Amino acid sequence: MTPEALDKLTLIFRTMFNQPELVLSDNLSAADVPGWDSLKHVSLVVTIEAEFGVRFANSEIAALASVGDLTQLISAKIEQA
Amino acid sequence: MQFLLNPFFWAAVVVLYPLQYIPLPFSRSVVFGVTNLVIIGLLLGLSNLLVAFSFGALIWVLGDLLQKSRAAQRLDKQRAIALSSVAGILCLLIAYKLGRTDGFVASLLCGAQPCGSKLVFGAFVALSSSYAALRCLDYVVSIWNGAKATDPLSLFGYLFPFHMLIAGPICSYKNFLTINEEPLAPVSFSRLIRAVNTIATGLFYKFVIAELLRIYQYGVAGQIVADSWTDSAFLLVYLFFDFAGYSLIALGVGLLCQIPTPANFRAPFRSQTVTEFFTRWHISLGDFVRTNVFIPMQVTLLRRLGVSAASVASICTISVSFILVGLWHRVSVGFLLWGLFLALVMVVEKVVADRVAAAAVGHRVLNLGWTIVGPVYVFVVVSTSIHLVAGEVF
Repeated sequence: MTPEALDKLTLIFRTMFNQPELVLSDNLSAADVPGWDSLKHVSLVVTIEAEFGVRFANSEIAALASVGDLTQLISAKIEQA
Repeated sequence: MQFLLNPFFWAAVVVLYPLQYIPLPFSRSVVFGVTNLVIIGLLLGLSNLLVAFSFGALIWVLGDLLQKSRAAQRLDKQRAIALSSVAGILCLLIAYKLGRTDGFVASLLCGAQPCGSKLVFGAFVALSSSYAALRCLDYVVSIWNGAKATDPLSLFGYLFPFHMLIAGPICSYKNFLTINEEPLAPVSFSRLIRAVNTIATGLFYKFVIAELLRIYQYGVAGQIVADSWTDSAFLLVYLFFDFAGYSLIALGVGLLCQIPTPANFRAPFRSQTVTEFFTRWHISLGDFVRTNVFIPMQVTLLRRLGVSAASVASICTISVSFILVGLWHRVSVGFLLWGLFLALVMVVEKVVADRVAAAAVGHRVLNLGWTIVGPVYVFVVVSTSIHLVAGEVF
C-alpha cells in the first residue's frame, strides 16, 4: 500500500473511532481499538469502499481480522481495478 | 444424552484416533467422511443413514451445479441455483421445526399411513437437523461466494459430523476445509492429554454439574419448568453446563481426531453487556449469523442509505438477526418475542455505548464499578429473556 493510501486509511480510522492519535499497524485488530465492533466494522468497510473506489465481497468483509488483512485486500482490489 | 451414552460413540473415537496416523492414499476429509458414514450408520441405523446420505448427495449436486455455473461465467444461473437452494433448505428447516412442535404439521409429516415423509422426518429428528441445516446453508453460500466444492464423502463428514451432530457447534465450511490444508500434527502426549481433559471437563459439566442441578431443582424424573424469575435464572445456569458440556465433548473429540471443531463458549457470565454475552455464548451460531445474515444485510443497507444511516440500519439488522436466531431455536411466538427482546436490549446498549462509553474512557471508578455490576446486569437480562421461552426450551 502506498504512503498516501495508508494516510487516507489512517484518517478514516481516526475519524471512525474518534481517536486522533491512532496509529495503524498490520497487527492492529478489533480487540485493540475500543468501539471496533461488528457494526463499526461494516461502517468502516463501506466508508473505505467509497473512499478507495473498491468493492468487497461479504465473505471478504467477514474474514477481515486485522489492519494487515485490510491493507492487503485494498491493495489487491486496487490492482484488479 | 442417549447419544453420548451409546458405546459406539466412544468406540468410534477410540478407533478414529489411531486411524488418522495410518497413511492412506486419500485426503483426510475423505477418510473422515467414510469413517463418519460408518459411525452414523452404527449410531442411528441404516434408514437414518440413507436419508442423511441422500440429503448430503443432493447438497453436493447443488454445490457442483453452482461451481460449474460459476466456471461458465453464468452468474444469473448461479444466483438462481443459490437462492433456490437456500430457500429449499429454509423450507425444510421450517417444516422440521414446525413438525416438532405443531400438532397439525406433525400429523401431516407423520400421518398414520406409511409414507416417505414419516421416514424422512424421523431421520431429521435423529440427525438434529437444525445444526445440519445451517451447515448446508453455509456450504451453499460458501460455494456461491467462490469457495471450492468438495467431494460427496467429505461433504457428508462436514454436514453430519458424528461428534457435532446433537448439539453442534456449527463448524463453518471454510474452517472445515482446513482439515486438508493444515498438515497432520504428529502424535503428541500433551495434545492427547489436552483433548482428554477437554472431553472430561465436558462430561463433568454435562453429567455431573448439569444433572445434579436438574435433580436438585426438579427431582430425578421431574419436568424442567420455570414459573418464576428465580426458576429462569436457575434454568440459565443449567443450560450453560448442559450445552457447554456437549460443546466441550465435541471440541475434545475434534482435538483428539484432528477434525476442525470450533469452540462454542468463552466464559459468557463474565460479559459486561448482553451484546458481549452473545459473542461468548453459542459462539459458532453467532459467527454463522454474523457472516450470513448480519454482515450482508448491514452492508447492503449502508451501501444504499450511506454510513450516516448506520444507527437506523443497525436497528433493522440486529432485530432481523435475533428474530432469526429465536426462530431457529423454535418457530413460536415465545421465541419471536425472545429475539425481539434481546435485539431491543442490544440496540439500547449500542446507543448508550456510543454516547456514554466515550465519556467513561479513563474514568477508573466508573469502569471498575461496571466490571462488577455488568455481569450482574447481563445475568438478570438474559435470565429474563429465558423466562419468555422457559416452557419451550425442552
